[in-house]
Amino acid sequence: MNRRLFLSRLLYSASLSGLLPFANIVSSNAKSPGKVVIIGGGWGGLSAAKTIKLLSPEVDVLIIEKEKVFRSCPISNWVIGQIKTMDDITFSYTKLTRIYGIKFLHDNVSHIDTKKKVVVTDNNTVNYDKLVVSPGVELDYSSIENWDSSYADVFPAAWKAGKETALLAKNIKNMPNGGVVAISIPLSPYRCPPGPYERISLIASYIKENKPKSKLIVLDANQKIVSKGKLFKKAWDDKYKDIIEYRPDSKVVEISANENKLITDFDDVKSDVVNLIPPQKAPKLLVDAGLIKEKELWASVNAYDFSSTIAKDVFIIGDSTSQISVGKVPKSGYVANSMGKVCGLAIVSELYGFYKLPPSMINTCFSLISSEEGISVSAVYHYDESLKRIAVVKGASGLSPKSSSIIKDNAWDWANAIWNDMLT
Amino acid sequence: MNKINYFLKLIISINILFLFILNNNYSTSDDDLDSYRIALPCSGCHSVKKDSSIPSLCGLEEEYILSALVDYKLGVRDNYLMHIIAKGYSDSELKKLSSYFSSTYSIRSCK
Repeated sequence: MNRRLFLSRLLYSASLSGLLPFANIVSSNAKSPGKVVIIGGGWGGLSAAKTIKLLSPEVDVLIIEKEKVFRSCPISNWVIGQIKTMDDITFSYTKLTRIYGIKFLHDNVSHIDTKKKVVVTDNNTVNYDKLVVSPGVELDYSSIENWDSSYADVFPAAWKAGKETALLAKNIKNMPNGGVVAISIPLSPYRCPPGPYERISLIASYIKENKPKSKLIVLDANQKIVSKGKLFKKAWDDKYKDIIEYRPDSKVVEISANENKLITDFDDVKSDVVNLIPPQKAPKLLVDAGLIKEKELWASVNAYDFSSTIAKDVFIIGDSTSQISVGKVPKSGYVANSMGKVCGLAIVSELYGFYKLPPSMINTCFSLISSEEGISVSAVYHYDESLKRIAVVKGASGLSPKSSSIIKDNAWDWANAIWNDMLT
Repeated sequence: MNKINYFLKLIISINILFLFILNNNYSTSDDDLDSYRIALPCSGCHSVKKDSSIPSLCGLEEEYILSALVDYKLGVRDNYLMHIIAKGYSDSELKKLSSYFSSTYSIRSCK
């Protein structure tokens, strides 16, 4: 592919993006310049896959993802707050195969060998020319005494959309009027900074309408609300003063499963429904593959293209990247989507020997503060040459000034737009 | 079956025609690359669907998009979110985005 063709493809792919399913007709006979394997069919992986295929249909793209369907983490709080169902956030991957020729292998990745350039799954071994690692987070219960993996049924985290989301939603729904809900929030950084506070707001909103005698106790390991603090605090003061009891600096260090109890250094909280959101880190798979520096929890990358600082031809995107290496970007779905696009563009450039463009990214996180109103935080990011990191463009970040019903509508329409952007 | 084949052929022909039109109507340059790079994350919110509370950019003129973006940046036009986003781009980048979206979407059938 020459430069002229590459540039014309940019326009071609842009014009067809998400609309017409014919990108791969362009050059079905062309020789593939390489094989890209993507670990993780989430927000980062899907965006990278689609960006590559739109620009360069002859590149072989395989996504390895153990789940057969896509379940969205953003909006999963709405399920817990009883305003959406699991069906509303569950989608098929099949359009990506049908429209763009993106292949899927639904299997568990057991090992990555970055020297041999091989990914080993439970049932297969796959070679790659370029590897994208976008595995999300691993829940880390090691700091919580008495934890046993079987307790996920008693203390669901519901921090990856799936059966724990459905379980927590059911527990909230079945709780008696007068019941107590306890939620614990880990120290930052964790996936989706405003996520716990949106969840608290939506459960409180449900309680206020349906179970007014109930209470919600929040044990936050952080010293204050991590994201959109002013807006959440105002909403809680205005709407849920008698429902939410917020305890900052309250890190859960122990549990008692048979008593339904969360234990901090200061007190014990017994409740009817528990949501234990544990600390998080990059998955063990990355540690075993040598992609995480010693004593670090997240993967270090070059912020210009998200290539690993450790292994060649490996790119790491999304929640598992270290903010020290990337810059101050939140671990959000929108950021993972933006990172996937930057990384996809960088991989196409590498495969064809073109100049790599600097990253341009956006983040917007919408959160509901009740079943009727939302708030938001946004920023535009560029590559800061002097810091060699992603940084906010000066002046281009901020919160919505107040909550509103328009923001709730925007939140739902944003979700639909970005789901379409990744899945159709 | 024949009908399906015919339909497919028709679609492919139309598609090739589009490609032909595209390759001939647009000269590509580094500016196009830059436009593509900065426009990519916008589709996180702006879809081609008309029934969204987030406006579709389908069928909008370049001048309209540009004046809206500049007004958001200056704070003359009010939107709780776009006045933040618009500040993230230089005036020449806003121009590129406007040109990009007006030309990209002009050949698309908007939903």
